[in-house]
Amino acid sequence: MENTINSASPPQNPLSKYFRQAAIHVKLPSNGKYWEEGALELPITGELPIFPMTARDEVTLRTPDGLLNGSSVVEIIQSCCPGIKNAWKTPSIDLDTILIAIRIASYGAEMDIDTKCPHCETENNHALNLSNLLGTIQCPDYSTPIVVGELSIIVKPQYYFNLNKKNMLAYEEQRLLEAINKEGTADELRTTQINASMKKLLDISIDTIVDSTASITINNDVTVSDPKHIKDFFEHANGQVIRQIQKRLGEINIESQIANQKITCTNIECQKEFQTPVEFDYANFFAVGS
Amino acid sequence: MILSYEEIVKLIDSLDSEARAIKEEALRMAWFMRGGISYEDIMYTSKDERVLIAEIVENNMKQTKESGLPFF
Repeated sequence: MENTINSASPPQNPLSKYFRQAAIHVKLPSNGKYWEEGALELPITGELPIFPMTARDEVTLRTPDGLLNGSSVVEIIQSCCPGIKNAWKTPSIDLDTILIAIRIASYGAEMDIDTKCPHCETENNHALNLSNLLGTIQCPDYSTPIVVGELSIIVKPQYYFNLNKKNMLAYEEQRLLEAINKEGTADELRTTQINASMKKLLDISIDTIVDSTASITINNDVTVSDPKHIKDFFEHANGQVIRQIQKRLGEINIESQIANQKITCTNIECQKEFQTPVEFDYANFFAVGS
Repeated sequence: MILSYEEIVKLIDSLDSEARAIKEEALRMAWFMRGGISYEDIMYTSKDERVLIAEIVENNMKQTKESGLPFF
């Protein structure tokens, strides 16, 4: 006999018992703010369910082209966080939290880090508790406007798509600059190529400011939020405005960074404490495969 | 993280071999589970679940050996 669903009960997928289960639930630093409409569906608890990576996800994470263009990270996020419908539109402030949560759900909360004691040069190996680290990540202050004369500028976090696109462009330009400097190119041609590359890098820097600007209010009256108008403004703005915004974005970047960790040297003769930055690179983050 | 050309080639090679190892492990599990789970299903399991499957496989092999039945 076929399994049927009683029309009086709420519709339930008969396959639901075969679904993967969430390993942890995590609160996003943004609390769901700054996400594009439809990109995120948060449950009523406000905490995002995180599923462990599957073997398929682990293979995705080992696809070089996917890692370079960001699509592997997007696929993993959407596979492990069903509440995230479009991971390209993840605000940068939530990215670390989501990736750390996926790491915890897949391999547990402990992650090995290698450090070198600055006092005695001893190589140390410590287990870092990622759950404790998650609690320290905070949303920077985006609400205080940057006031430049009559203009009041509100900034916002960039989406992963914009961030990744600019990182790729900057990487390509840097490689190009290195190649130009190495090759035996004629001086005149080299100058032209370097200028073109510098112009592109400058464009990337302007794009970062445009993507990080939510709105500009003139004299507490007219508010401009159209990205085209904002881009036009920044392309014609004076250096002081650009520098002020870059300074604020730099401060926000520091505010959202993971705090340095206090480590005690394992060398019995030393045992001194020192601070170490927590860096997540591919090798220590996801390489604990099957 | 900025890598040299040689380091990038080395990283790509190591990613390829790791991906191959994951697929090989899944195929081996499907084979030793004797139809109990398909390769496709294994590719959708988490690391913890694959550890459990590996324990089942090990247990099955041990019991088969102890029973004196033909083992292949």
